Amino acid sequence: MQIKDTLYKIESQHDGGRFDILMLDGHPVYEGHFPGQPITPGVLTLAMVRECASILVEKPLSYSTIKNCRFVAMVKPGEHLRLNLELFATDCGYQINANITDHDDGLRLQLEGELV
Amino acid sequence: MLTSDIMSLIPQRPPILMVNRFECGDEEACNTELDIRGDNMFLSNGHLTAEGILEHIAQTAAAYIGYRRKLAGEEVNLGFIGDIKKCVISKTMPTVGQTVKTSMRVVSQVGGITMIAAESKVDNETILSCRMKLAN
Amino acid sequence: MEKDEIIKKMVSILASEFEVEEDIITPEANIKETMHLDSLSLVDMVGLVEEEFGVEIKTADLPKIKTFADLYEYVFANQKDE
Repeated sequence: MQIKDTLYKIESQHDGGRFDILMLDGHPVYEGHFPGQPITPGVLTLAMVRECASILVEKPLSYSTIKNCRFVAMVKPGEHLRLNLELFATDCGYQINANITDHDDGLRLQLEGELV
Repeated sequence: MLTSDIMSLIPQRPPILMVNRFECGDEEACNTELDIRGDNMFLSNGHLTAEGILEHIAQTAAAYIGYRRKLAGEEVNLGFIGDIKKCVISKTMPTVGQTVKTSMRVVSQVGGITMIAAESKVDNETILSCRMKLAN
Repeated sequence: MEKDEIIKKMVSILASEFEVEEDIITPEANIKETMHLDSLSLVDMVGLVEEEFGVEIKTADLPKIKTFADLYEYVFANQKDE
């Protein structure tokens, strides 16, 4: 279910797990979420965080736990966002802390969880 | 009430419609089922991803809220996931052809925010459990 | 439950759930400010009270519960007799 380059584009990647992201228009999901009012499904922003984490460690990852993921404000196609993610290696995978902000420092998502 | 007419309860539409059947009695709880088909947008190597199950659970909660609203003569609104907590995901995720069965109960409701506890199973094995808040 | 039992249990579970020190949960302290509650975490608190004490805080009553003392009083007054 890769959504990189269809739902979003990584405009630039910086050291320390920072990604500048553009949410793209036109992904088929917006036909159904919602008709006439395109809003990025929260679970797809979760998937986007996971894909970016996979890029950092150069291997595919999936969520094993989500301790807390807050969807603080809506994400919509066309928006420029900043993803900050930190990964800590554990015995079985990685602990992840991540947040997504917009360019006014408005918080959109905050996540603590584990990936394997 | 048992229905396959999910589109009367929630605003989501294909390709992100993730509930096939909905059943609800008088309690603050409901059950739903999702048949995993080959055109599901949340498949990865033939397996449904955690994100797909979480969307199915969010729509389970939305269907419950939509059902209660309709009984009260109100309209079905757009709903959004507020948060996901205490989520544990199995290593083995289901494949195309399998059916996910989810049971959900309302833990608390304050204003427009509903917190649910949900558990999704495939062939009687739990594949994901979580708490989730829906705002609508 | 006696009121002091309610207080002891409530302080312990709130401190644990919201990751704050028990000693800042004083009767006269404001609940939202002390535990940094927003609309989402407020629902967690209501859920916790319902699950741990069997008391449902009705939406209409919530604005009246400002301090921890208000909360203890509400739970004490609305307990169901076993």
